Amino acid sequence: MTGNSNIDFGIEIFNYFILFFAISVMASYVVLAMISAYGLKKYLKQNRYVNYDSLLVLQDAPKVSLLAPAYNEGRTIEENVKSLLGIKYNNFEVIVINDGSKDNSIEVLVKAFDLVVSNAVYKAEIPTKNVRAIYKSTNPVYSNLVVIDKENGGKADALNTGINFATNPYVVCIDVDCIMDKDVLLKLAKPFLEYSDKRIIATGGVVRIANSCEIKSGKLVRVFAPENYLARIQVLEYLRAFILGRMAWSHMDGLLLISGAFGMFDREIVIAAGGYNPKTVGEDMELVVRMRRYMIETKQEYRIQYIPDPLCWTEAPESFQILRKQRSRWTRGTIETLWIHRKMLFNPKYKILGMLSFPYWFLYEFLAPLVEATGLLITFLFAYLGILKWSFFIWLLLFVYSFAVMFSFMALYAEESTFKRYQTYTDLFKLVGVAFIEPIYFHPFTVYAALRGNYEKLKGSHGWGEMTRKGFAKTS
Amino acid sequence: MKATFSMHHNERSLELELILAVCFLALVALIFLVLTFYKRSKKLAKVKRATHYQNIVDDLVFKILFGEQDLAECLTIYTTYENKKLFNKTLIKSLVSLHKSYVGEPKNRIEKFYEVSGLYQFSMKKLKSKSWVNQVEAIRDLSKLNYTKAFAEISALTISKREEIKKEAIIGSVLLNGISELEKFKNEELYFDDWMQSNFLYSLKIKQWEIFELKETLFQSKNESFLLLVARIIELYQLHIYYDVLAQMMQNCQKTKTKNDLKNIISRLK
Repeated sequence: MTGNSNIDFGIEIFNYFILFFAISVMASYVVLAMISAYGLKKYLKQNRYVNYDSLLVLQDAPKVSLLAPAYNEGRTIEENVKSLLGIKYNNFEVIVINDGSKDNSIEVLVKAFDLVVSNAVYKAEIPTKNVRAIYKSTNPVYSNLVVIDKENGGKADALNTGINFATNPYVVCIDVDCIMDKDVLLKLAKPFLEYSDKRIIATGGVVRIANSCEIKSGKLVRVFAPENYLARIQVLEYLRAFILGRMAWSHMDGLLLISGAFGMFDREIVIAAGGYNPKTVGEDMELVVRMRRYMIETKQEYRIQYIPDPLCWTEAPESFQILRKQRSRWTRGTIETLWIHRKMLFNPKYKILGMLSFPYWFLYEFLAPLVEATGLLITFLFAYLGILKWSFFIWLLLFVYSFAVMFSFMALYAEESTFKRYQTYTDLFKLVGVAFIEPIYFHPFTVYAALRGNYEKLKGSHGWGEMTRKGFAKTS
Repeated sequence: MKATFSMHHNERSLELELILAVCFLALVALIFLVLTFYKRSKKLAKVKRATHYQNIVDDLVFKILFGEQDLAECLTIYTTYENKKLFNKTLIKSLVSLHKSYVGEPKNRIEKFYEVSGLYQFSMKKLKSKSWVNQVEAIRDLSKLNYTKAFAEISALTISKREEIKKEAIIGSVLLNGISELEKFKNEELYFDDWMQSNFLYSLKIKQWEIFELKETLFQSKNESFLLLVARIIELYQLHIYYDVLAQMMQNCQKTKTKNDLKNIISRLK
């Protein structure tokens, strides 16, 4: 204490504010986790006896176009496309959109799949960059493959090109380098077949980390905890986000995000809503928000279905440099979506979206890192001035730390009670181990990356930044 | 002076609360950790047992299928494990899977074993369970393994209030009593959604029936989703004789979705 009652009062207010904010974040996490647990239990019960193969006999299964944008993927594209063509489903086509790659992607594809230029007509219902050529295969084995070569315009523009070209009523947007579960389309399509008085406009599922997993011929064979610490921590992070977070939002019908790595959409609604926005780097979240907004504003009953099964496996960044770029981009994407749709914030017209989801994202996704950083700065200032109450500060840190560890353990328990993808004690020990270091090793870095994201946004940066991937070690 | 004292007092109590909160969170974390490892150990033990049982089951079903030993010897092996829930579950799963892959004598031997061994009682017990998931699984097992004596119990479940049970019971009763059983449901108000229809068609396909005609009364249903199911059965069995009936059906239907689906079926049947 300084002895100056005004300053002391200010310090006390500051302490209480930080404490209250921390508690509110934690409380929201716990509430979401409880709702998720209920939703997960219900989902697993309802799907315990489901035989997805039965969908294969239905000639009228929803017709799906799988859209895979590719940029400089020449090294892995052949195997990735083969893996996509091998997905178990009846009515689907694969549309690979080469987004003006500077490498030999097109040459590789032409050679591997016997492609020739087709005279198919491209109609741009959503404006996109120019299409150079559309390729189809002369080999009947690849009759459901289309390759579109276009000028570079970014991922959103490439996906819009695919959406324009697709003739099927449903589009599945994926990252070409992700590993898909063989049943992915069967699981994504099921909700569209079940009776509902509401139109299902999108389904999405869980994305998991594939680093160090055993991959054979483009298929995931065995799951292991990543060897790299950074990737291993992201396993925990994804478990917390997907199992304990998104499931709850879905259960409350407040889901704002279907991961860009893969999601299935009603093409008609995507086009009516205007397609992906190429001006934002958070195009996946922005599209979902815009589609929902469109449905509410045109007074149509609708639903977004979330499938908690791990269906898509992606490579997580293993270096701080790449991770920083990814997280800064996510922050910019969040800011852009929140800004574009600011009208929804606390607007009862948008029901749970306006009154809960949007405020939550604003407070705990956008503002939280800023509050955290400000809190730290003021704490450093207090320490410098010699007015920091060290015992309070240390206990507050321990409080936050113990919550973070507890929440990670909760996520691990949820995984162990549900999907159990990590099968050995070694993997479990590895994940438990990183739960202890995550709050001090990883979390501060994500706060820093979020701040950089804010700074980049203020500076007017629009780029994605290079996302170099190591590539999966594939055994064929 | 009082204000300063109160501030100090508040701070102390806040610190104390923080300490308690840290202890509480640490305790909860520990509980989750212990539960996770407990679950893992249980799971690994179960996997070990399942692998052991699967080996025995593989051996047993081979003997059942190809008659290496007579049924009595197979029954002796089964009797050793008949009280083990996991063993029964594993065995039923294997029998169902093999039953759909074989025709003729091996198929009959599976059905006979299911009945004579008393394994069907495991499914019948599940059928009477309070859990709807167990009931659905039991209907599926009993009907797929063609245990016709369960028909009455399964048929009774077609009026269940739980839609999942009702739908499965409709499929099950048709599988056990033949396609003519479908007529009973033509006036159902139930919406036969596409997911249920795909399950229905899949079960029929596995059954490998030879169907050359359907009762014409089926086409008189007022339930469009039921009519669509009938149309899909016509397509599954390639019953071209009903081409005109389908065209008429399409004309009479009101819903765009049904009309479109019927149109597609007609064009494929051509």
